[in-house]
Amino acid sequence: MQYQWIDHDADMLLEVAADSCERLFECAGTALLEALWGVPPSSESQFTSEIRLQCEDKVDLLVAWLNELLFLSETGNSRPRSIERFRLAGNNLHAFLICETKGAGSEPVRDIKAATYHDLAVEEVGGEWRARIVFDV
Amino acid sequence: MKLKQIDQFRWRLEQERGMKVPGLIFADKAGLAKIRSDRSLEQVANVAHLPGIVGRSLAMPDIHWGYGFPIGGVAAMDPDHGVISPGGVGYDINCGVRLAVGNLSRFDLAERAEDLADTLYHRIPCGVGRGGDFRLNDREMVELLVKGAGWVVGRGYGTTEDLDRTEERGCLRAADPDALSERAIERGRTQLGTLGSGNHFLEAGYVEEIYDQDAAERFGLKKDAVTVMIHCGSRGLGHQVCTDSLRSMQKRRGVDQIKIPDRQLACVPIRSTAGERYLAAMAAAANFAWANRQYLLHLARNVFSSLFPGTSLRLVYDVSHNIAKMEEHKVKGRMQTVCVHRKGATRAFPAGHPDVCEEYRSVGQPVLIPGDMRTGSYVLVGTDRAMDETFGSTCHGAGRAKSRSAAKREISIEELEAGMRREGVLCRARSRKLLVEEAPEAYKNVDSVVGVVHGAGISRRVARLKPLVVIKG
Repeated sequence: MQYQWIDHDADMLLEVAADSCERLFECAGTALLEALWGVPPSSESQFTSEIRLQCEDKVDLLVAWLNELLFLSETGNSRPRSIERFRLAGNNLHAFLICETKGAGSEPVRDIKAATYHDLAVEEVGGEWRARIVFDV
Repeated sequence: MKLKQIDQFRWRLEQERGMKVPGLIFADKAGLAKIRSDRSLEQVANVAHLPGIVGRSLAMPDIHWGYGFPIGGVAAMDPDHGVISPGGVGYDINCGVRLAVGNLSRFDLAERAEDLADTLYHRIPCGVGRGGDFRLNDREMVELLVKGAGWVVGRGYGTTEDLDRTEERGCLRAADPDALSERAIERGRTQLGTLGSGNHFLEAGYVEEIYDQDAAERFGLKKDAVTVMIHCGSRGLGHQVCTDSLRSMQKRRGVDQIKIPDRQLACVPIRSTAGERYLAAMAAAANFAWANRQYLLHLARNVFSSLFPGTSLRLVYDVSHNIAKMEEHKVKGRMQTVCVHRKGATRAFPAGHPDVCEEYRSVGQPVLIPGDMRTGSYVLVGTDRAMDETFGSTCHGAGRAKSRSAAKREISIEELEAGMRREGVLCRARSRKLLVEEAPEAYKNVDSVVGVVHGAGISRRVARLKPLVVIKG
């Protein structure tokens, strides 16, 4: 499971590769949370939050998953900091996030508006799952 | 991609398979070389595939690779046969710029510039996650989304003259708060009067040079007069409207049977329930953005009044950079209503146009073009040629030339800060690391970009502004 941020003049481009689709989604989520927060959570005031998503296809689901993390990072009183458990069954996603109470830790280090559909494909190539995601910043 | 040079500043992108119209790119030779280095021309061609597009798929000289539409892209659609695409507006709906001019000169400001920088930074909510002075309840949100900047003015944070000098008077009437999701409302509740981060800024500067004395006088611009420029948009509320709309349009792909080359160009017929719903939601988000910039100007006015008693900041104008609107334009020699998508582009209506406020109608609409935080910015004016060639549109800024990571690799914060000091620009930012991403070297040269639109005649230079104090998130 690996990811890297690629140079993009206007926005942020994430390349992710993993040995399964489930790991690919988890890795993309981890990459996004690290870009938002910088470092893993250190606060003691942590708790777990559960999310479930369902979409018509993998591309929709990946965009919805990443945008869900962005929404949770901006609103309410909890701030998702890392992924505790992750399950993907077909086009159904079930994740447990480790969260901090708003104000308990640091604020996001950058503003990311959304994960986009631009050029997005979730594909298996030679046994490896890959995706490239452009984020609007 | 087949490009044919038309003249010094125009290039025709030939209509190839699937494209419904050709493209037209405004650039000089050097600019075109940069444009060719990314995928923005491909995106100009992609936009030309959209159903109902009329005229040409347009690219302004600050064009760069975006998502769906290129940034700096303009397209007009026939409302009866065409589509509306959130990818042609962007996530930051009605991201835009407003400019105010003060009744003091840069020499009055010099002695207290550090105080001004500190006080603006303290008083203007900026940075990721920073809330504003409001926590709007449901009723207030509905009123604000319907009334836009007028809601803020109605509370005493501005004047009716401010509304007159705002594109659309700061309010799109098509707005319907019911078209927004609860999530969009939730994201907006605490974000009224916040700058955000990234390329958004509040800048105090001065009029460095005047090119068109008549227009400058009409806009209230005098050499050395202090200016305030604000660049921001609809914040998380607008981002959520775009996210929600794209998601619902993806689900309709099978229903509308519209073939698109990029899923980010997801679209629906303008004359459809889904199309009208997006336009209503987008209009509400646009109204939020105008209200946001109006309140930020109010905060800046308070800061100036506290430090420089007797100072007034007169709004020159407020323009939108990311929007889709129904406008009247000539298509094949006949006036008709079209839906103009401007994504990273500015309306540039000429003298005499009924949508230009009466005060400026004899000279044309002010066009505000921010450059980078050290070099400067421009005030232009709209022209008849823009109406003939670009659906009354021009560029929106310098446009990025370097990625954020390249900027961080190649520019040190120490060099950046030294360069700013040498130019006499004070900067306050929430993050020094993010400041490097916004370094002047990461942007195209605004003088060149403006040189193209001026040379091509789709807007005309009026004045150049120079920054003195920059506040960034």
